[in-house]
Amino acid sequence: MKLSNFFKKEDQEIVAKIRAATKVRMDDAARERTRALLAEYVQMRPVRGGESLPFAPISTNRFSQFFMRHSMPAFAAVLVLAVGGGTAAAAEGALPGDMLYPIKVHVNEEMRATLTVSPKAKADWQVSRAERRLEEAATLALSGKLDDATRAELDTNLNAHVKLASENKQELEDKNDISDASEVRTNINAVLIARENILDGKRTAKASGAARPEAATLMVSARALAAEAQDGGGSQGDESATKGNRKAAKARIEAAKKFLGRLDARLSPDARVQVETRLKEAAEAFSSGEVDVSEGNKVEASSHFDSALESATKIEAIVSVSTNTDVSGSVDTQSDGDGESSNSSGSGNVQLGL
Amino acid sequence: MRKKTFALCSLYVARKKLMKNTSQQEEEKEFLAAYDEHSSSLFRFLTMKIADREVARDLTQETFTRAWDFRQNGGVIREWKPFLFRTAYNLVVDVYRKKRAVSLDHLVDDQGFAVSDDSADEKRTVARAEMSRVRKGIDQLDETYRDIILLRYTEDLPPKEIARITGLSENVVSVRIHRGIEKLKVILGPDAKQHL
Repeated sequence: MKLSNFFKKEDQEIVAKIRAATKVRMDDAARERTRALLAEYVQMRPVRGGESLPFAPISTNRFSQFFMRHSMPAFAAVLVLAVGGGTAAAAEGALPGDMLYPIKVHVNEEMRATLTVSPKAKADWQVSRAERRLEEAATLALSGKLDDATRAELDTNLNAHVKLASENKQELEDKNDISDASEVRTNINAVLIARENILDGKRTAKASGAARPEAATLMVSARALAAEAQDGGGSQGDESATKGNRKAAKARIEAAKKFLGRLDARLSPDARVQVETRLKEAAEAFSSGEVDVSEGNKVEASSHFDSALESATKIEAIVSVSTNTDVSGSVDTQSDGDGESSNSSGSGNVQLGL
Repeated sequence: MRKKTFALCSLYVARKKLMKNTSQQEEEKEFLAAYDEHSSSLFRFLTMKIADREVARDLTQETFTRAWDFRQNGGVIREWKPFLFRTAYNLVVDVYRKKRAVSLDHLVDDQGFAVSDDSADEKRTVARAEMSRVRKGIDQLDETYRDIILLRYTEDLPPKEIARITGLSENVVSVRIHRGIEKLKVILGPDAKQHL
């Protein structure tokens, strides 16, 4: 009994020491700042069924103080309140050309940007926004709605996100946070490589016989950045290529899923079966790639993401042939053969470009 | 008759709006109260887990925005503390997979270690050195034990809640708490007994 009491006392003392040794506090200013941001966040996103705040009385004095302290989040909050929380939520699925698209890009995404604090988190969000632009481009391309004007708009927005992410990367380098800066650089390069696959118009150029000049500029900038990455080490360039293929495959897979959900009536039954088969192949290869990444098998991951991208890219060709010419029987062989060679050379270009 | 019906309807709509507004305000109040109550411990846990104050701050904020999103989509949060810790834990596992690059000892400035005011400087220095030693010991613990020890003793969560947060069984959690303490004693070595 005495012995057990002794051990109990010893445990209590070590527990007290653990407690004392692990006290960390968020500084009060940071705590208050986060609280203010969260207070704005909850007002912007009212609980479903609840009403937003336009009916709540706000004194002029408090209102102006609020604006002086948090101009950007307040601006976003006012916009969301003006359009309503439900609208903001509905805008998340909007595509360029939709009425709600500006809400998605200029309100929802800006609001989220104001909620990030560290340069790393800011950069990550800008990279995610660039990925969203790619997914929108892939979705529109499947629907046959990716015209030059929309493509240019998406390019411009994507460039702006990449530029902001690069600024954050610079900030990390200035702070000597080499590890995070390097990760951000790899992600930026990966987005640019993914853009090369989705937005550079290789397929369009092949069909029309002329490459778009802006696509050429984008490819040059993507390659310049990728080359810069390689200067820092070949493995970083490889990682960018793998991540780039992963991002492009993911954008195309998501776009195909949405397309099948929305516009299946436009596809002939045969084409639909082909699209579903390719989508399944792409999803399986993608998921194998994810497993390889988690297990640290870089070469296998790269190969799986490349296959996923190839399968996902073929979907666009199948849809394009099916919706434009109503040809269903010959699509498989034709697009498979062409797609195989053009895609493998396409992805080859992406990697050689590094 | 028409006017009366219209007036009644207007009254009903106005009342419903008022009720919804009140409900929204109550939700917000409850949410911010949860932030006031749990943000410090959540930040502490995240800092200990990932050894990066700035990222821990971001993740603390992200944890609360996710909690609100859950509420916004009709989810019910009965107990905030376990819910928030579970969200934060999953956030680190799913989103932030980076390994700890800095030792725990570099992050803590002993603000929380209360040495009585009348302690002599020498005593204070010895106590700080001991705290540093304990932190280095915790650092050496395997992550599977460290997380559970921190949740149990720094955050004062019962094994049942830790089990819900980590997705382990209560039994496994209890075993790991016991083994974690034993391992820490071994790491701290014979010196521990002198200081204990």
